[in-house]
Amino acid sequence: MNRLHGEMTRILNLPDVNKTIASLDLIPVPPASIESNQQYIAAEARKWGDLVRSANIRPE
Amino acid sequence: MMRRVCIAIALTAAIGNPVHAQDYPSKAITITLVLAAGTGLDVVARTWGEQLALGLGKPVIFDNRPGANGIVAANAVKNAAADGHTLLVGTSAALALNPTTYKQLPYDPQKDFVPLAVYLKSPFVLIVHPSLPVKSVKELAAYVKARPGQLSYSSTGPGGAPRLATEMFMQHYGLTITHVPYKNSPQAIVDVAAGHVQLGFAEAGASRAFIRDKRLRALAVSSLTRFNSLPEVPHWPKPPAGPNSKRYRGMH
Repeated sequence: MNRLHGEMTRILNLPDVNKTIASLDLIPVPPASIESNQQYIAAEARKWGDLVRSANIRPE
Repeated sequence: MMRRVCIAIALTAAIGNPVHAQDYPSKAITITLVLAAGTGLDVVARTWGEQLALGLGKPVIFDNRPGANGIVAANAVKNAAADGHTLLVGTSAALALNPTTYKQLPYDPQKDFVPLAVYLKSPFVLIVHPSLPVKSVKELAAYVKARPGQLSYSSTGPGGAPRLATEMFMQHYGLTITHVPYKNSPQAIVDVAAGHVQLGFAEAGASRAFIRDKRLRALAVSSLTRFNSLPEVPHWPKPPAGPNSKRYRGMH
């Protein structure tokens, strides 16, 4: 895991990778620790959970 | 809030038995994606995937398995050997929202996967069919308000940003717009251009050509910064104050 994480951190800081991302109108996110990623995803789930529930969004 | 509607993309690995660093990697790495081949997000994955192959000294294989809001791909990675050689590229729908949207999921994003990198955000642009006499979000809101239930919008699925963004738009302004789901982003965009639905939120890359050709009009972007390729398209306006206005924190 750490090896992969380390590789991804290195790669995501490469200017060429970021250039490709920008050319597609996408936004790069600075690499962070695994723990930070876990917290981020959990926070997303909480933030958007409200809207999903209030709009009664269900699978089609 | 609307200024921060994006889908986040993350590279994750299934949680399993620890592998000794010196044995890793012992074979090719397979990257399974919830995304379809050829999409902008897929292109980015292949870009860093190339680098990963160089860095790890083993080939990296891509396996696109779009479908069911990422459930197909996530399940495939969960069921593969959890030895770090099969990885998942997922979106916020697959990793953060599905647990709320679906009563039952064959995987648990928190328990089954480790997020190695949350590396990308994909912002959206609000597009309308050019026959609508509106040039801004506020004009669109007024136009829709005067025609409750008469207009429809396209989305890419229940947990996708287009659906969420449009729901937020409707709640902010107290609007009723009929929801028409599509299987994927290109189809959702094409049908707005064809006039089968009148509006929707679209990824910049996929909608750029239509906007340039004036087959679609872009009213606002959902990100904090304007798009490089659409510098004239403004940010989302501040939501109107009032009983319908809700504060949702941004997805980014």
